[in-house]
Amino acid sequence: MFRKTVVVSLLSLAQVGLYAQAPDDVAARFKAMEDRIKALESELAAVKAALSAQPAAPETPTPQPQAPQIPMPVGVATSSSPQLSDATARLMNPAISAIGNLVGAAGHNPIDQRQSLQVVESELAFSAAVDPYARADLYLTFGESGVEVEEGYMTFTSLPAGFLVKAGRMRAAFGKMNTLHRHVVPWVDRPLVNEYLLGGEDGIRDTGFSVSRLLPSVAGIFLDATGEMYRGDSSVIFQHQNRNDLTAVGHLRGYRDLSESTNIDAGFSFARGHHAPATLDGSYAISSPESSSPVVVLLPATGNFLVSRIYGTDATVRWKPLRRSIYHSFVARTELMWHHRQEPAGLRKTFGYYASGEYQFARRWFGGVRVDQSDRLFGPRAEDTQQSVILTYWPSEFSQIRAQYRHGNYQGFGTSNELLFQIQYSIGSHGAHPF
Amino acid sequence: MYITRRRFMTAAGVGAAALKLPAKGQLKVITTTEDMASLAREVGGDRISVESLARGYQDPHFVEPKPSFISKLHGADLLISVGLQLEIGWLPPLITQSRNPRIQPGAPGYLEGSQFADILEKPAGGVSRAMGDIHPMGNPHFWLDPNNGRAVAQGIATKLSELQGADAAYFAQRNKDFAARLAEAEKGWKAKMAPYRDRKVITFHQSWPNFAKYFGIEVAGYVEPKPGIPPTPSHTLALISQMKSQNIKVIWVEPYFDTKVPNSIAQSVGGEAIVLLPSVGGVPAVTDYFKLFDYDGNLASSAFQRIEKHAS
Repeated sequence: MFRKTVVVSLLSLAQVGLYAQAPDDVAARFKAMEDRIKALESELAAVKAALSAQPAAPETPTPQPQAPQIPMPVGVATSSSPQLSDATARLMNPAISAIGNLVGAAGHNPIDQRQSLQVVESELAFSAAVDPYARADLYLTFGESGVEVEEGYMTFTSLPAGFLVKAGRMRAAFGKMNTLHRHVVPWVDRPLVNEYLLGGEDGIRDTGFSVSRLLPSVAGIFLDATGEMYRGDSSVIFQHQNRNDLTAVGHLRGYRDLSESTNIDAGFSFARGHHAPATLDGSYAISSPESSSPVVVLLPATGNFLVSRIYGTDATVRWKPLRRSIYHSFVARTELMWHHRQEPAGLRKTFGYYASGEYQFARRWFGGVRVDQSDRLFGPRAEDTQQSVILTYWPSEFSQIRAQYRHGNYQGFGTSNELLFQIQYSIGSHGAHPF
Repeated sequence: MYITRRRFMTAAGVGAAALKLPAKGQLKVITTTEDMASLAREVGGDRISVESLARGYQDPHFVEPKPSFISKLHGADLLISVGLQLEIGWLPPLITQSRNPRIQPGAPGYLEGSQFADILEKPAGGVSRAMGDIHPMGNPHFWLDPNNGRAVAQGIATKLSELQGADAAYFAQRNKDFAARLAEAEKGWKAKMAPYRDRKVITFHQSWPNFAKYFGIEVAGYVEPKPGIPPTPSHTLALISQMKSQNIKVIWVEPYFDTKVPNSIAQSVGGEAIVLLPSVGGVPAVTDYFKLFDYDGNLASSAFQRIEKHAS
């Protein structure tokens, strides 16, 4: 191919000479060729530098995740130097990043009994194209209680008719906060409504399929519809008794640019799943160490699992002046949820919401407020409220320090005043900015 | 049986037509920046439609991945990015969500302009975030050297010809014409900047190595202590001291950075901070690649001129 290019180039040059075209044209062609040669030289130099920088390959090379998928020609395998094969293997490595998240709490809270200091998670993320048709993303979280696959899914990017399919373990497309990993949530905690009605930190996160498609735009509104099917196993919200107890999730998102600086994003969500006919172990005042959701102890199932339906709506308004986008921005967001849960005594209807605003007042500084209100899903019927003020400082794009003052009013348990704080870092491959 | 086969053939034909690019008509080209869009317009002419995702006056490192961009990418035949991780914070999720197999990395409709350009500031040794938000594959602001603009235009013309072979001669002719006009324009730009060759300047961010090298200007320091890190008082004081000792009077600032600190530094040394445009569209008058160099060349040379006149 290269030889062919050179021959074609030489023929072109000969033609130039034969027909004595304008000197500027010849000069331009020479210049273009010179530039390409320079580019090739610099590329060659970079490859050489990379090869010389490689240490000798170990006798038993560590198997690379994708190496087995790439059949190497026998001739290449036998004639290549160990350095070359090692360098080639590294080229195929996925993008890797790690995120650390230290959370602290001071003050008293009768419901949320998180510890004073805790590395709530360390996340390892891997992502790469699997082949020309799909990519894979894997997020492993290491908490103080163990390791788990937070998400691990394959995305099929090359399907016809505008479909996008994901398969694996993932956060369900229900509202906004449920889709976000802990480290991109703009607060130290998750809103009360997510904690109470949507399973807290785990949320609706399960193993299954997600199919989404762009819908024809109406009045300039971007529309994206998502349908998901999961095996039916999401924290305290959904459980399955048999293979038919699947969880279904649907989400419709509408987005519109109001101007180049301002846009509005709204969504409707629905989830239907099953749960064990559970009862509480004793009184309500039991909390898990990592979550303000009360612990539910499941009894051996004696009958068919019951059905839960969750409805949600969300709206976000963003403002970011493009000329000063790194200095100022504002995001206002709200989510409302209705959780209808069948219980042996009848249908239990609960409701909750949060509303928040975050203003970036300097390049590295963000200030925000959030108000929460939510019914409890378990135990005696009650409604709790919280109000928070948040200040976040980003020393760089790869670390952040956050403080959150939170006042809570928990019916039957009294009030709380707390200072939550958080230090986060990200190392490795540059991730995408959340939107 | 015949009907079934005919239906099958019709369906197959429709499917093939849906997947195949039209032989005639406009190719839909989406670019990440206005600079790539301008180069694409130069060679694509009326055989393509071009739209840039980012505006010329916004920081291309920090573009919001808006869903409206997904719609644009969904219908694109060709996506031209700058590359070298300039768009790493926002483009990858948009491509994944575009539901467009034609523009996925590795597909024929995905093109990075950087592959054709002479890239500066490639880190020689190990790289670390302790060095700031550096680009580990080299400085991505390569289009600010007309030689790179020429090379990228050639690369775009080749790609357009590959995607729409029927117009290959048209693209080649447009590219040739662009190269000729660029060569002519370069004479004027170089003549204007020639008196200020070897002058030293300070820039806010590391956006200008290609521009400075092309005109023989030396970038002696940066307002940012490290790439992506806002100015600190200690670094600012050190910079003022350096500018005084080396008699540096000019600071080049990108339009999306706050000019308060650069202006203050310039005032301290009796110099000037000027807002140069790294991209087409930085101000409404700069509508194409030629006007970008016209604007920056005029501004940079007049700043040098004023300062030297004042000194004499």
